[in-house]
Amino acid sequence: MICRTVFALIWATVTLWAQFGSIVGTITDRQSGDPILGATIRLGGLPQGATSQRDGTFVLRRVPAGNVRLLVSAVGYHTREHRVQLRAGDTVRIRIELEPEGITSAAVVVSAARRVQSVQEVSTSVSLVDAQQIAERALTRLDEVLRYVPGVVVTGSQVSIRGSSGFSYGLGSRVLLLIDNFPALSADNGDMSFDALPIADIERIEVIKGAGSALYGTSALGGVVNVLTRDASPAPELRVRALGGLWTLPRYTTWQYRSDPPRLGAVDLSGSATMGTIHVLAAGGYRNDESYRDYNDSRRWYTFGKLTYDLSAASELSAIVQYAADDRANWLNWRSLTYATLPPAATDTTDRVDSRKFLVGLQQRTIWNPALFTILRGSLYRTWYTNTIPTDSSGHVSADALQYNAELQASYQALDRFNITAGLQVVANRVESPYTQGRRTQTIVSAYAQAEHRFNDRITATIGARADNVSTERDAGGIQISPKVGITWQLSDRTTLRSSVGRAFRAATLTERYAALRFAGFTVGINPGLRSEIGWSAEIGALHTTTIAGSEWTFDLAAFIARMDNLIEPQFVVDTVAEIRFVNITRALLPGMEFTLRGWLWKDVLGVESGATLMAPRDLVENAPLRFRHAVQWNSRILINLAERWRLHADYRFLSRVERIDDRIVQLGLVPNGDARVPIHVLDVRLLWDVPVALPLRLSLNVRNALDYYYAEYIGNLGPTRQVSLQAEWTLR
Amino acid sequence: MHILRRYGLLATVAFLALCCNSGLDPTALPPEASISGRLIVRGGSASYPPRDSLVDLRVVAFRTIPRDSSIIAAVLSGQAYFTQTSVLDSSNYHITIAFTDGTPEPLTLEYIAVAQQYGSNVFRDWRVVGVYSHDSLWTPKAVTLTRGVHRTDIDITIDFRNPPPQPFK
Repeated sequence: MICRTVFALIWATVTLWAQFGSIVGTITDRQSGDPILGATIRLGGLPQGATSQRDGTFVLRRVPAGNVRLLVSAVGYHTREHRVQLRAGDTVRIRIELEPEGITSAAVVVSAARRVQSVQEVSTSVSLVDAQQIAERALTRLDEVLRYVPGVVVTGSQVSIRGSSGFSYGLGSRVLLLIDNFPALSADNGDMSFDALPIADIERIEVIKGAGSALYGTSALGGVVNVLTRDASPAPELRVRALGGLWTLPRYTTWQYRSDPPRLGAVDLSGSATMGTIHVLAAGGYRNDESYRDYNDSRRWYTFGKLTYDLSAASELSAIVQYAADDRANWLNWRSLTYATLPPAATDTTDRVDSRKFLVGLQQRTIWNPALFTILRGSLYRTWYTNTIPTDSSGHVSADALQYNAELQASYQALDRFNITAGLQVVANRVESPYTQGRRTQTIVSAYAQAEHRFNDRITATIGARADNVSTERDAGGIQISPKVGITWQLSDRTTLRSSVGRAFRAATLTERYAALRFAGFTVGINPGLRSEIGWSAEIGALHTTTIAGSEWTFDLAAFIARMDNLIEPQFVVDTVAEIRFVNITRALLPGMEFTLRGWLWKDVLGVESGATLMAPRDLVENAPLRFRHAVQWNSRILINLAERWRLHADYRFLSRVERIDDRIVQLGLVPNGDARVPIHVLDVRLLWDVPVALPLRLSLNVRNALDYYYAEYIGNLGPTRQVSLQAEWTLR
Repeated sequence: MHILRRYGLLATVAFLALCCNSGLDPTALPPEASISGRLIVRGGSASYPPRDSLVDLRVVAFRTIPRDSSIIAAVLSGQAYFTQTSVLDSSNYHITIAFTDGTPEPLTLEYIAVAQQYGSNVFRDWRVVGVYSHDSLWTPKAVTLTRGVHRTDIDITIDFRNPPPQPFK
């Protein structure tokens, strides 16, 4: 029996080996012939990929034999599809030339359908941020990155896509966050921890807009943000990034809480190598920020590791480990507009919050045959925090939250035109905290399937659904069914239409159900019976590229509408006692339009990217504008090539004045001058210099909020003032 | 062409600077008015009710004479203003009123009272224990404010044992 099993395994391995080949290639610039560094090469329909090296070369192993479709993209170049005929056991050598475009166009995504697709194949709106944009902007946190994405608004620690969220101190995110496809919302609050991410090792960020629950389940009400870290380099590589800067003193003397400019600094170190079948990436970083506000300083550090092991020609095991610690001061809003950089007078300035995050994820990817691959994924995400107030005092807060995630995904390519992706997922959340009166648990068991059919070379239809059974403590909760349909129609080589309709939901978090505490003189009470938020969203869009005055331009226009019900908000409740509870109170309608364009005004000299989102979000219960939403968002980016090694970039961000806030907070005096709000204009300017030295070195001088424009990012909180920094980045190979 | 580029850039930056030279300004706060004064407790501290029935004590200024004890609701709806903290251990008080878009001017405060929270229900368990009055019969005396007016002579007598007639039904 044992012999038979061993023989079967060997036979299976040999069989698998025999069905695969390798592709070795070089990516070059069509005009100059120069090799292209950092181009992404993906296998269409499969989860594999590679990144080109400095000499433009790449290696793709474990490629299923047959007619292979490669999607090749690189910053500043048109994405290209390339087909290769590969026989089992062969190694094919190819050369792919890319046409320069100049403006970022990394048009390959994996999050929209849980497999590789070009953007033109996706039926919903997608925005991408690549590593180059993050590095050039000298950004140190994910929320800073997302602020530049059209349709995305960040208020404090809260991310909103197309108005999905207002403001609730990050609690109960209506946007799902994934790190390398592993879920990364905390198990207690359902919030994002931006400082936990290895920002210097992000390959790209995919923002999928609209209902995403059909594939991803709870929290994907407004969309999905998937942070994809880079793979280890085939050759040993060391990257160092150092940043130092200061916050300039504000114009108003009552806001100058110190006489010298507060300083900030950050350093990131990352190394990677490949040793045979093992690929290793290790990174770490430290940030120290004295802040533009008094008693708002923070110290953060993180470590990140990624290890990939080639089990066989057809199977790969990878693991990520991430640990981050954050020591910061603890206050919620300003003293008043007059003293906007100071905390309220009664604030305990010795109180600090120690917050930690730990994520470990394990994934096995197996290609069973050219048509079938599976992904087995498991992860554990722990977040815990405590403040320095003694545990027996009323101001003490602490929580320890843990999320377990297990998932099996299979993708099957039946015929050339039909693909089906299906999966099972189990997520268990657990929180232990004084404010939840001990341990609370929530379990979500899910199954999903999505089918995609290409009717011809121009029309592709997608249909899918996901069932999620949410159980919280003893509340069975019920099953949420989230269907989605979509279609893309390639009218011509230059124009693609897309449309989709989908349902999404967000299960109430454990904190929203069970938090009981005193806050600003009021009691927050529990509401175990909270129902899930649900929403439908639909969009229709068009992507068009054209040539104007010899330069390539890309335009994207989308019209969208979302209807959301049972939205959870804190509310004063009076029955036997008077207290604040989280209740299902609001119904909302969020119609809008989004327009983006990018291209070169003067070829290779002056480039422009611009995106505008216009919305009219309504609260259907109160028949009034939805609270804490901006009707207009406009992001623009200008790139100027000053000289061979000198570039000047400018980012401008506009948000119209929040039309409506929660007046109760102001009337009760909880936040003095809480209604002080203005439109937001932020201009960031950067000067980049590729220094001609032996070791590749890039220096950038960054001025963020260059106009030193003052605004309240959210109620009673002054937005970041002007910051000047110098960043140096080395890559050693 | 190079000159054009440079001037184009300068023009863009100048345009943005002109558009965005405002923003929040702590010296341009909404205009305010205020009332303040002394709190005189008839009978002194000996007249205070037991602590378990004296949960909170606030000075509340109503635009019109209130008809129920929903003080919080009146504050939330902008029909009343109250001291941001309890005046339980204080012999004076101060209420700041910001003139926002919805505030009438002149603003008349018809009924200024001291309210005692006697039970656990912050929304309903209130009674009036003092009224700003010009006579011993607790007849309410109105105060009219315009922007920049700061009245410091609004003294109120508190009588826990013989409180004023309750305006609440």
